[in-house]
Amino acid sequence: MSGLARCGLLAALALGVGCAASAETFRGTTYEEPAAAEDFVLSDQHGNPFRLSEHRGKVILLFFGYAMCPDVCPVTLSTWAKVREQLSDRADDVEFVFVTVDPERDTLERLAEHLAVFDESFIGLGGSTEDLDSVYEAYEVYRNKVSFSTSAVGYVMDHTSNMFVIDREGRLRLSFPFDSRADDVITDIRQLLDAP
Amino acid sequence: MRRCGLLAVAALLAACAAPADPPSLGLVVEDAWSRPAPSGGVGVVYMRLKNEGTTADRLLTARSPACESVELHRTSRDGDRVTMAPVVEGVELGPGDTLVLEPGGHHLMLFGLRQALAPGDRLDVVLELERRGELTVSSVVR
Repeated sequence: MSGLARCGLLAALALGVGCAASAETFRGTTYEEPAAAEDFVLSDQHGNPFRLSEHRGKVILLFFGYAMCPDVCPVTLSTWAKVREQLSDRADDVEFVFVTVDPERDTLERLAEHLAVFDESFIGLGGSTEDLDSVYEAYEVYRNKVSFSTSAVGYVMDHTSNMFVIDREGRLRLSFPFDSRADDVITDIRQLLDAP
Repeated sequence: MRRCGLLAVAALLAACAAPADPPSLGLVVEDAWSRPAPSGGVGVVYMRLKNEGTTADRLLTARSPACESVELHRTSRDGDRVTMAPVVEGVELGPGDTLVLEPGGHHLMLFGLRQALAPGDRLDVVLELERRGELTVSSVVR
């Protein structure tokens, strides 16, 4: 083996070792310094309190949307349904949490009807304006009401459309655009579930 | 003889002045689909609408027996923020153009669904076009 070839081989080996020793590679956007996801208490669609920190040990997908949103929010909910189906035996280790950005129209009953169309296990959260505002602030969720008086919609809510992923230790780890592929989300969830 | 010729030319001119395309001529709808939705809630219809005819047209709005009203809307994104707005002026569809109604873009929004939409269901949607008039499309829920 020539000196050059030996150097190349060593470099390739070093690269391989380096890759094997590196941290997980995620398809979603990672937070450089994962911090504890801000805790909150809201009401689920059945009227029961939902405290985020009580769900440690599970991977949590968190999305902020509203039932009157026919286009973007259902993209994420449909993706979630695929993710849950394809996770099969790991599905119960993941929770899918949808927080309303339109408490004016989204009663808990309405959230229940809306989410049941996609998957009965999805959790819909509402609450007082004050409680919701503090959650929006903690997760830097943008929301803005825009009125259309001549449309049957009345008003729409412009809103942050990324979904957030919280790991089993309760740290905010990843975010995905609303139209991400289910495969990408599943791959990252599996990594988080399998992490020691 | 000359009179016959004039009549023929007049007839031809009249034909040209009349709407060139009868309803739906040259308009091809592909892959019309909807998402599941609860009764009384809002729904959506997506499709590809191709104008393979020789005349421009404009999709103005639509209606459906499956719901109380239908509006043409458009979603836009700005970074991770999304916004949605009615498209009251409709969308131009020139010869050779394809209007794609798709998630995250233009779509038909259904208000007041008369019954829940479940996978496998079908619903009729009547597109209202400026020149060609009405075109009925069958959308499948999936």
